[in-house]
Amino acid sequence: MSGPFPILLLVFSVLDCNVLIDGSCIFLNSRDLTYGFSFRKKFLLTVLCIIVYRFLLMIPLPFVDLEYVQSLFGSNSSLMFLNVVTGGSLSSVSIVALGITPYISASILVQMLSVVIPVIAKYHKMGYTGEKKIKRLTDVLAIVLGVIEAIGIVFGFRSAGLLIDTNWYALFVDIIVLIVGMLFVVFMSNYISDHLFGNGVSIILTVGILSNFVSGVRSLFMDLTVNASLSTKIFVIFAIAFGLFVLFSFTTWLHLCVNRIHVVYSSRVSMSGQSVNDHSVIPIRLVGSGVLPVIFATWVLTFPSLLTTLTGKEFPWMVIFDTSRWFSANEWWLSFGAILYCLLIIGFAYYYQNLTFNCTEIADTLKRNGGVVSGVRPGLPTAVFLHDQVKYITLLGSICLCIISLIPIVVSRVFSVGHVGFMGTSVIIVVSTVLDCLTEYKASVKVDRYVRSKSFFGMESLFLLSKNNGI
Amino acid sequence: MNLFSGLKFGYNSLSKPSFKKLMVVSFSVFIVSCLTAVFVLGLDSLFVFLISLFV
Repeated sequence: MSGPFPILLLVFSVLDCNVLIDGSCIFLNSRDLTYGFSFRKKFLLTVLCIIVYRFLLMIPLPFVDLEYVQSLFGSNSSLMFLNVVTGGSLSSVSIVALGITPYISASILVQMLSVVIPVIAKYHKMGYTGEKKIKRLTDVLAIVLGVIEAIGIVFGFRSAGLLIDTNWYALFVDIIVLIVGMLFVVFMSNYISDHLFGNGVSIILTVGILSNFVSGVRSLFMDLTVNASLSTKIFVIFAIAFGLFVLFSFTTWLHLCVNRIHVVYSSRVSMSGQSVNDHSVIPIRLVGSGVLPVIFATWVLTFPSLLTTLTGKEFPWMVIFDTSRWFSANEWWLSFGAILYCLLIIGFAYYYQNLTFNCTEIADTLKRNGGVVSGVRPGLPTAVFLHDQVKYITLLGSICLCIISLIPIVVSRVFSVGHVGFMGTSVIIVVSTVLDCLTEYKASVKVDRYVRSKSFFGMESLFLLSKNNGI
Repeated sequence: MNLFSGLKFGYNSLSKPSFKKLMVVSFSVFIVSCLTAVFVLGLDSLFVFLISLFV
């Protein structure tokens, strides 16, 4: 630090302190004064990205008959789920109708391909360089998938008669606009992940889901209180709020439950000449795979329905995938679709867990570094022990995921209301994103306090914080 | 180990949050979600209003 740099930092810090003392930032207390600048800037820029994304959602795709599309989405429950996840961009057929879905599909595909293609598996072990290569590969794959999806959507719209103009120019313009819209959303989500607050993909998905939250609660309330008295209406309001809170609590509980396997490392001699035993923990989460198994299973179920909608051809066996007809007393055999759905979720949960948590590899790494799981011999016995732990925890977690994802279907069947898309899977995505954001915020505050506690008159911390802020 | 005892083993091996912690965290998550939902709804309404002014 030389020249006017420290003085500039001090001025920035004092200016920022004054702003915060005025009480304009409610998230921070008086101890987080210097931290506020970075966090507030990142938070506000994230909000700005959300505003831009919501604005783009309002711009419709050219040459599309909007009224007909919206009526189509209102009548199909499977398409409604896709619409909820994309934040209503599909039903409004906006220029960002593809949203972030091609990027999510690409990242899932890259993770899956790492089992089949050794080069990708090698990238996973290469650290930062490998991560960059995987990211580039995901981007390229997302573009390819985006192009395919855009072509599919536009030609599907044409065959379903949703386009006002069906000449080649209109088709070409729509495809290009969809691809550019998708690229912009991917760029924005990457920017949020790399430079701002939270995970960009999760935030964009969450905002999309929450945009339908209020209207979903409102339509559920209207469905439940047709010709009801005032006291019943008040009771229903409290019942919905309580039900949602219980659902949020259960989902939060799922995210907070973790099996911590304690690992003890062999003694080493510290700088002061004392013998030190290192400890660490291997966390196995109850829902380590997150919402991905449910998204996989839903896409598998949605695909035949989407195919029927777009091609206009009806196949009798596809009825089993129609979620609105599950758990019906008259057509009980259609509930096999729900069993298939649960089996898909459990299967995908196991598959994803095996991809991300390789027991043999972890056991080998522990053995190489002199680590031992308490009460278990290193090597193969450790791998078997870890596999046993993961196996039953994954099964328990995936059963819980099945329960949550079936809640909206059961609620709509029991109370004879329309599709309750804001419950179930959507809640899992929202809770995991909000918890991630809260954890990131908490971790940043802790780091900041530590840095300041180690500094002398705050100058060292100012230097470190300025490096973090990119000043 | 059969399926049910396996599930019981999996459940018992988990470290679960206390009721108080669960309530605090889930209430925070619920409030943040509701506030975000209202914010996004307001934002959408504002854009619809602004677009209706120009179109």
